[in-house]
Amino acid sequence: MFSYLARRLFQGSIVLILVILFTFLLEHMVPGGPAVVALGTRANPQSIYLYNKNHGLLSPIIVQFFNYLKQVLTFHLGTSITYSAPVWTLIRSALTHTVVLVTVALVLQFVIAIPLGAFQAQRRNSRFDYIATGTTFVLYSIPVFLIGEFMITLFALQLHWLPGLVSQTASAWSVFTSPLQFLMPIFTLTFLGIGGLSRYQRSSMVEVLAQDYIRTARAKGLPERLVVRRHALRNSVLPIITIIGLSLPALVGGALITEYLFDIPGMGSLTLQAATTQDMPVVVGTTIVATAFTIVGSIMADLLYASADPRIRTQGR
Amino acid sequence: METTNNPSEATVDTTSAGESTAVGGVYTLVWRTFKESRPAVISLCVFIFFLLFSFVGPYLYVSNQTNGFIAGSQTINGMPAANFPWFHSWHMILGGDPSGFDIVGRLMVGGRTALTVGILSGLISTFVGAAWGAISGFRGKALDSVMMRFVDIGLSVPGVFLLIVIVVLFKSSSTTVTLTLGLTSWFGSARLIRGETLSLKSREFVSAVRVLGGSDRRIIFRHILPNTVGTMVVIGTFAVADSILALAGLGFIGLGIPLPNTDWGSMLQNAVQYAPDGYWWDIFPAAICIILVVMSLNYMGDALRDGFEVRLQKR
Repeated sequence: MFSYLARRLFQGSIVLILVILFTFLLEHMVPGGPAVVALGTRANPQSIYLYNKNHGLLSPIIVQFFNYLKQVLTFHLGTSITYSAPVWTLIRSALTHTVVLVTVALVLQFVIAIPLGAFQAQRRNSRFDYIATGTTFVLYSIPVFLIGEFMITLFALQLHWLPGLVSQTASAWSVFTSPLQFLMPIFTLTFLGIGGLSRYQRSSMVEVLAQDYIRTARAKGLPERLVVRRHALRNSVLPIITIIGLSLPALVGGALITEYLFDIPGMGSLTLQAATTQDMPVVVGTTIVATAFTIVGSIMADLLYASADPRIRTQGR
Repeated sequence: METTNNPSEATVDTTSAGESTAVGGVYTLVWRTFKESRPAVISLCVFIFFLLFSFVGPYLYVSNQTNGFIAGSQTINGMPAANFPWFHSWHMILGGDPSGFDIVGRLMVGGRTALTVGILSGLISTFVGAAWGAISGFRGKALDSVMMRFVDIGLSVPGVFLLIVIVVLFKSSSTTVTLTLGLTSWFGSARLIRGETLSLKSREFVSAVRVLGGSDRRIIFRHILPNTVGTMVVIGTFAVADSILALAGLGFIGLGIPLPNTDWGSMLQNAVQYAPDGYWWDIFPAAICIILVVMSLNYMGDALRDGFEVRLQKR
């Protein structure tokens, strides 16, 4: 278990370093390099030279990369051009919003998709199954921002039941204290994954229900309720846990659009604002932090899987 | 050696005589399963409709897509030129958008972008992924683990962020978006094709090619990849759907293809700005196009997968 964690952490840090390398190279691939990115295409040669000199961009590119890497790993992500504030300070205040939003949506996805998929598998090919499959399939095809936009149009603009935007003064934790304003963003993000997850859960459950040990459980006279809950459900959820890690990138990407839609001051809004004002240090910074968050999330998902599966849990003992 | 060159012959080789007499080849078999699924056939029609709509449509329904319609009073027949939701003349069936462009004509322009970007980047992602997966699976050993770690890396990066970085650095255009989407979404297909390659490479026809002196490259590109065509078609269909969704998302957050060109996502973003003023119906034209195209592709992908799985079962 410990060596497993160590291996995953090692892999994760390599991923992170490669992403940092990639964004670094991208900035250098722009004609004129980072100076042009920061100063604009019409900057005169003197100011470009000064910028390069001040930012250590005259040294060999490998030296530059290692300097950059050292800075990034010590949370020195540069200074925002529009806010003139350290990028990490901006990200730190935005990060909590995104993490809370993504976590709550992820939990809700599971709470909804697992019973749904399991129930569909139990009543396979029934009318309920067909309707649920059809609905989740449609959900799977609708882009996340459309679901959000339809909800805003219906519940905020037409019916006036819910606020259309999240209060700018709300802290990330007000998801729990004043949940009403977060209802739409959270469900928007939740819907994003339900289609895929419930399909996985359904097929996993169908497979488990066909196993010999289920027949054994039934044969020894266990009530169906217990067969499903103790034997089928537990085993069918295991493979779904591994999907958390794989679905995280999409979820973080979805959070970006959801935050934009409902004006939540998270990483996504920060990135988009920076993108429209060409504030490269912020865009690169959020990309790196979002990747780090995704990696940590998927490592946690793997650990969860390892602790849920007795075959892996007891391996090291 | 040449008999295993294309997948239909390869399958006939391995199916029993009773089945192959009734079957004209893999594609006939797949088509038969595909045809039985009503949603799939409807989806195919919808998809073909959108292809014709976007590429042939502009020749039949001519509208000015370089300059917006700006009458002095911004009205048509006494109604606002923008946000005109119902039929009033053959000139602008769905009215105009807030910039004064004919919405139907705009949908055609947007559809052209969406379908071109979607299909091209879907192709890129499928072929890059397939080549990567096949080489990795076929060579095995150290190369395989290095190449697959790379895939793991790709799968754990939130692509939207990379897309935004690239669009900001290199400016949004059909080419940048196509290349970025194509080159950041092939990791999943590489995994699937690798899995299939692992089982294919131990088959007799591969040994036969090797005995006859065929190079590794020949085996991979002439014999293994053609046999994974089923998986590739399925992956490709879903990849096109995903790319169209991603492009729509990009347009929606305001980083879409710039004027005078457009895409459905940008149209939506345009419409959404006016939704709080009561013009909520403006959202629907582009939204319906996106949903219909993506859904039709997903249904077709599903039916194709069933079709190719039937082939696998009958083997």
